[in-house]
Amino acid sequence: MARQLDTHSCSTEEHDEPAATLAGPVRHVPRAREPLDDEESNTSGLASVLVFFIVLGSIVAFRKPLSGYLDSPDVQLWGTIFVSLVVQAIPFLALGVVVSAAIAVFVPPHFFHKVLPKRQALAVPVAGLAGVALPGCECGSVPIAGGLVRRGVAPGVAFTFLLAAPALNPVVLAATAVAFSGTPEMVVARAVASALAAMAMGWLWLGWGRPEWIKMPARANVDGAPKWLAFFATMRHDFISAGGFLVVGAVAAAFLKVVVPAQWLNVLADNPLLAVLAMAVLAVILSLCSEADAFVAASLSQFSLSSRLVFLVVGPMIDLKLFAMQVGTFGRSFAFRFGPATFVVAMAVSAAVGWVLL
Amino acid sequence: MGVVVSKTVQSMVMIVVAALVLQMSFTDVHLRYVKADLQPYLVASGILLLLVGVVTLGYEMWQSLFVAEAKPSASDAACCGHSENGSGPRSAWLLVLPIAALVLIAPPTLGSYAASKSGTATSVAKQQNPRSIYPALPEGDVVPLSMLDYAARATFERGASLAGREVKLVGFISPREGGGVYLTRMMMMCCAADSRPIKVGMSGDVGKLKSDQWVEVRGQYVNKFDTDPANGEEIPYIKVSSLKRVEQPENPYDI
Repeated sequence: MARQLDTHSCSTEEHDEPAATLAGPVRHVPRAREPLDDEESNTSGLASVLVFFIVLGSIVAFRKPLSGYLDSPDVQLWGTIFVSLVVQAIPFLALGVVVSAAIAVFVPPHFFHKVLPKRQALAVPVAGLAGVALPGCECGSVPIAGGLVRRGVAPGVAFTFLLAAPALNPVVLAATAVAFSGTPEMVVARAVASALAAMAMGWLWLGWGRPEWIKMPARANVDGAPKWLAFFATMRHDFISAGGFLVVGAVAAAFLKVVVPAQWLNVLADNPLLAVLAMAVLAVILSLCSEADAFVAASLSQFSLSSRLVFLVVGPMIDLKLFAMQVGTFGRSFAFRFGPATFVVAMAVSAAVGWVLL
Repeated sequence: MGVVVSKTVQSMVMIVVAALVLQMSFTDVHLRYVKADLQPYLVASGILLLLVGVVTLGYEMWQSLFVAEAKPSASDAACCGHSENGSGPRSAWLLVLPIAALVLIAPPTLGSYAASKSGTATSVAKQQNPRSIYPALPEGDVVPLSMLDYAARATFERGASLAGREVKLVGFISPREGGGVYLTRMMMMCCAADSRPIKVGMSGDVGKLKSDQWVEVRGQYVNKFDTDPANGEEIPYIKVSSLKRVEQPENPYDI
């Protein structure tokens, strides 16, 4: 039997100790997927390679015959939005995957216990501040937060980082400053509201979150393997799992862009409460990169500044593609609780900050 | 079986995705989907993903061909004792979707259909320059302007800095609700998902123009405005003195 880059975790061991995610460094985390049929894995490996080649072959073969059916404007618009969401995310995803693999392979297991404050409630704002240092947008922060949780960082602390990093980094704040150069208070309001909402979610998790909601897929067992190999295997795992789910989010976002008419927004712009809700929902639907959303917010001129602040705070924290990526990284029972809670908290905090500052 | 994804396929998916990203960024196809500035990052991430795919695939093939008799490592045995080609995230199959979309649909640059679905976004300029103070146009007989620059000067200072000057705009044709056409260009910040149209009406005889035809228009500011039904913003006009059909520019998006 050959040595493999990746091993399945021992399900029996882990289901007995789900709390391992919270305590100290964890090597294995409970898996969401049911155990595979081990006897068949060899044949199924070959079979899936075969299926992959058949799929690729048919894509190329059907290119000509199908082209007549795929040239309707709606299909093409969907395709452009879908492909552009994925292409744009790839560099940021690659960055996130490199950082997350480096955390898994090169950071010593006890590192985060030493550098983070012992009291988790204090570690939350530290994680929020650390988010300032990641120059990217949300696609990269999901695998990094996953890597932090695997390395033994308390989930509440890692989630604060997950939510704060996309909105608080200098690149995004600079883009916001350019788009809103006439109203610089928007930059301050965005930074304050994003930091508050991210920390609120971190503390909420520390208070009420349950470790058993998090079910991360098994990842490379890096013990024993040479470090460079473990690094590559971890990158592959994280890219495939985060990237695959990113695709689901992008499919949905592109679909909604095609079927939902732009006019629905006009109806809601005049009522302040509905406007806040509309902007929050729009941020979720559009699934924009946090580096670009300020520019779209600037063009939504029929809406008040505070409702556009809600758009800028909710979008980097929760949208369709982020939600899908969280399902892939942390499991369904996590995402279905964390996503809606993030939506409500981000909307409430940003509406309050907007009311005070704008 | 079936839904299981072997490690080998994961590496292969990565290699195909990386190859497409690299091919796209070297043939300028990426300009349909993302901002030109992103190209070096696309190339860098394409190389990285290719490397990861090739190294992991090569290592596993080498292992299964030449080290097939090696004893399973302690951790494998302790864990589940199963063999190579174990499965990984099934989401690998999902990454086939963008590959298929790219090859089968070959999605084009956003055009008149996308433009007619959303409202003109001239107010972006208002947000950046709320007092609407614009520098004087540069010297010259004909001044090339971006669509946003023209639309902003026309809308927010009623053409004060445009008075008496001949300007040149490049855009494509999109339909106007209730008949006629607009000169249009999509403006992009990061990727096509965040792009918004800038629309300018054309007064004067422009002949019959098909949607998505790219044109170069010369003309002067005229005090005439439409209201975009999609978002209630004003759409300025230009009085056309000459119009010629042109090829789609290398970078089809406005700033």
